[in-house]
Amino acid sequence: MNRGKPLLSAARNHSRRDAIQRRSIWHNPASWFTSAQSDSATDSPLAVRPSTTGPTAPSFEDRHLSRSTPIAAAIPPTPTPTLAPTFNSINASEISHFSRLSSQWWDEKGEFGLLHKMNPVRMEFVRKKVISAREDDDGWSFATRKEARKDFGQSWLEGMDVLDVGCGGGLLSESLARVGGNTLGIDASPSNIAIASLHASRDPFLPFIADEGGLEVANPPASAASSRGALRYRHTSAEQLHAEGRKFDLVCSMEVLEHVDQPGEFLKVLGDMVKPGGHLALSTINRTPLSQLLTITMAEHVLRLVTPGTHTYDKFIKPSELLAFVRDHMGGESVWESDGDGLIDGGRDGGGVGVGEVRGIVYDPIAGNWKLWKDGAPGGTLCNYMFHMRKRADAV
Amino acid sequence: MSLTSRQIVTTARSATKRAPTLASIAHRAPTSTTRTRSCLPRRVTSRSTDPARSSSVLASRYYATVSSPSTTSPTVDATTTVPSISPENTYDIVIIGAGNAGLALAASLLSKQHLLSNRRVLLVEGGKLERVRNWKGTEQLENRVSSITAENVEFLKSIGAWQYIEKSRSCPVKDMLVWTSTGSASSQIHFPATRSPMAYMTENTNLQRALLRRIAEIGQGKVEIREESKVQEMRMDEGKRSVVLKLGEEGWVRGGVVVGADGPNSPVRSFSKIESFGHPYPTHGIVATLNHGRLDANHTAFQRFLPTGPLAFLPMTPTSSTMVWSTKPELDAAYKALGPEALPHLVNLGLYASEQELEKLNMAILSQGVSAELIEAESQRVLSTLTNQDVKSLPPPVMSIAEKSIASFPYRLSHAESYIGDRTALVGDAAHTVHPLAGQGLNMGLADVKALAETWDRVAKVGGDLGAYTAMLPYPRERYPANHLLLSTTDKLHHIFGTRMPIVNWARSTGMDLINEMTPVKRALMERVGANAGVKEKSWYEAGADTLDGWKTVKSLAGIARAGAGQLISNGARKLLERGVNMGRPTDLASRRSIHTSATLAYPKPKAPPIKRQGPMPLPRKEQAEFDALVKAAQGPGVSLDDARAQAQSKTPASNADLIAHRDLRRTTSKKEFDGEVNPKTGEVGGPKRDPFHAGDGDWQYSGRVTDF
Repeated sequence: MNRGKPLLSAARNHSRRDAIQRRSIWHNPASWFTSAQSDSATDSPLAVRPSTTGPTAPSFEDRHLSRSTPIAAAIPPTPTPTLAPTFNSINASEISHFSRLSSQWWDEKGEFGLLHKMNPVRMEFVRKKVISAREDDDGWSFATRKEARKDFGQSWLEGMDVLDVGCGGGLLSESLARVGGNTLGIDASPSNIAIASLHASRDPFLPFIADEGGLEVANPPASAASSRGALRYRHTSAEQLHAEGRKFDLVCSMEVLEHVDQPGEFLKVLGDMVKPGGHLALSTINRTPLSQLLTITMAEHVLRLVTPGTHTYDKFIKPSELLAFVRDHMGGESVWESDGDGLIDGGRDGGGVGVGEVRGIVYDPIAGNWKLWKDGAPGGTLCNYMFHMRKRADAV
Repeated sequence: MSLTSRQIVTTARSATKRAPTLASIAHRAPTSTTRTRSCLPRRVTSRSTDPARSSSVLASRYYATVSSPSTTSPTVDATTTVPSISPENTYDIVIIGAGNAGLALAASLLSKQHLLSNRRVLLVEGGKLERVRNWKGTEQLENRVSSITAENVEFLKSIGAWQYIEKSRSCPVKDMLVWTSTGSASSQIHFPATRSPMAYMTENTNLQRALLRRIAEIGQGKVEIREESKVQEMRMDEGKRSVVLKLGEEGWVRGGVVVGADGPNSPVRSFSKIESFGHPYPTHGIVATLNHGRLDANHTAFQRFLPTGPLAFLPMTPTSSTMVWSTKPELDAAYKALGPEALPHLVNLGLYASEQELEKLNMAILSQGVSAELIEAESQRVLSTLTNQDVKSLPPPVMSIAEKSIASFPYRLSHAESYIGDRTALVGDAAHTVHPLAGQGLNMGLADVKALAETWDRVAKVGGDLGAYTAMLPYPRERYPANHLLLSTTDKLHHIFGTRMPIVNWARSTGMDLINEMTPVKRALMERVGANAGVKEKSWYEAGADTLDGWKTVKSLAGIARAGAGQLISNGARKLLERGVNMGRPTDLASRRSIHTSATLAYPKPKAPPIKRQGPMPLPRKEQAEFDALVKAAQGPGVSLDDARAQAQSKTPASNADLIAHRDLRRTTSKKEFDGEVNPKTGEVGGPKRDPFHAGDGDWQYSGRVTDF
């Protein structure tokens, strides 16, 4: 039957096998956890899973983009080998080593160039959501419609506790701190935390505090910049923080969901850490042929913008799965504000729950920047998308 | 070493190593003179080095001008330690150079509502701003004048600076005439008067003072200006998160990002290792303030393209204008050597004499020297030969030149290869210098400033790092292509108008004629020089996303293209044919007409009536004629619509005046119906002198047009 096209047929068979496998895992979003749990050695969802269970779960070290693995597997529950309390004790060779690495994270023309360009768009999405929520809380009135906006200005996160899970080099965390957020960036990789801390400590305008809990302020904020929030980094996992009972007004986790092994558990933890009335903002990649083409085939293998192996197709998550999971496992509309219309891309049914908003972000190769896709316009979420939901003020 | 103490240590340098090391920081040997004040010491100039000079020459120049290699010099100390810089000396943005670009940047950053709410700006200026601050607007006109396009006037209004412009010293330009040779109506483009001025001629000091006042008004605690403060050294801080600068005696300051608004030989550009390409023109510009007879309205900019370069005559006041005469360096020297008495007559010759006469005169001036009396006599002779037509259309004869207003400077085309570097950005002349024939130098700088301020405003809203490369990237993305287009266009114009090869000559004057015939093209050209303010371009992306709007755009573009093509074919073909027939023949109008009528080469008559005005597409011929007749009739004073209909049907025009006047001419119908303050009919006091319902239709009207529906 496929005699003439052996390559193609092989590929087709392969993709069919993948599809079957995918269907078994992904068709029912609820099966993320059950199947994952049945695969793992123990029944505990937070139990350590061997990192080599299958080809779809490359080990932490295997992934070049060690962006984050906020699973318990990466970190033992005991206090982790954290950084030295201050930077000053770090020896020169370590600094030079981290600097070499940090030139990767903060090399705006290199590996993470696309991420740098995406950062303003992610912030813009969060900003819109936070500001509109603040306006909702203030009670909108026609007479004060302009004054209300004026107040937020460029410190729209002022007075809010912000958590950035999987902060990596601190791209997002620094921005969150600059707009006034009391930001804590956490990452499972100690070297990422070191790089982020090193980078922040060098910025004379960032109110960076070297060690959470410690008192030393590396950068006493300049007098005029006092309205900027505080920025801290910590080498820990989301689960660890959750266990400590920490709560935040805004929990961000950008481009992390597709890198974790148990996205469901991870999401639950994030959701738990949001204060009532707080926000959860995510960005991740949809599981579509287009996203495979763009993020894996083009970005990794053809254009080599990103190191091959950064992304795993089967770990991408569809918006509908995300919404359905929120409905079934995170309390749905009883916990989260039902401000959305439950539609994805303006047309498709997003799992029958009107929680949060799914918004596509699209790279415009001609203008060379990312754009927040129009709300409700079709096709936006086919590759990268953002998700936001707000916890109800009366949620427990 | 503690990271927090921020010590910056320069290691000892051996004498042999020193020059290249310092050179790599910022310094290169000066090669070209600069017209603008650099706020850095003269020694710190651009990388535009002559390849013929060897590096050893550079080094020796450096030593000679900077510091002798004696060990007593403080810069040769073993270690220069920068003390930790206090938060008071830490600024988010440091702007180097308080010229128009630097001041405009500070003012536009202030105009952003939140950008500077928690940020501080330092403006460093090497010279004194005393003179600018104390400028009253009553002094003698300065020769450093720039045209500010309508678009940039809007920008200056939006940042609140335009209100401080001395209006009596800022002349609106409503009209533009470009020509190559006198004596015939051909080879000239007349850009007709537009309703709004296309540009304002403004002295640079006037704009500078306005910007300074605006900064003083709202910049308290946000923008700090340090005058007479020369940047002696610039260093990238470790980690590349800030730049530290040594400012004379005041010590070190830290800037999150440094903006080079420091002129053509920008030290910031050298510091950023940004190459600048371009070439000097073999041209100097002579500027002077010209006095002439009083004009009713001096709102026309004139520019004559001479073989040696353009001579621009720019309106300033009813009795004076500013000249920018671009010419060859040797002629520049020779003209100035003739003395201030001879120069007004020379300018008259430049404006009115034929190219042949001028060439002869130039030869004479260069070879044996010509007495001022001879030039005056020649000027009188040429003035006496002017026709009425010339007197009407060309600029007024120059009577004298204001004292001490004569100056000259070399031209140069240059464009930096990038506008942003590591923690640095370039605006204005630091990024590009342009031939002044289109008057776009300052305007490009203001557009840069606008784009950079907007970019930073967006970046700050989402918590970005102002000095980061990605954060600043939208600025060059917006400005680089636009500036490059303008630079190359002016460069091409300079070359096209500078040559007198017969074929180019023919093509040029034909091109000018064509352009003169094509209203849409002229409109487009005028929009380029800024006649049309506030037109926002739409990116393909937005156009695509907004499908309906996109389709509308396409439709309207198609309409414009169709109309333009129709006109191009009708007028262009006719002109081309005329040109072809006329080649080598006398070009006076009479003979052209005769050839015209006798020529068997019939040109196609336009199908639709040509568009002579802005407005909707014409109706079918018959209906349009009826409509025109109705409108024409209705515009007559005191005629009701019924009368107009009757008149149109009887096809007798209202009066002879209507036959002569253009149909779009607004008639002044302000005939009073009564004298005094009190309306005898209604008893209204201070009301209109004429019944607004005079046309009898019950609508408010002005000059026969309904103004309120």
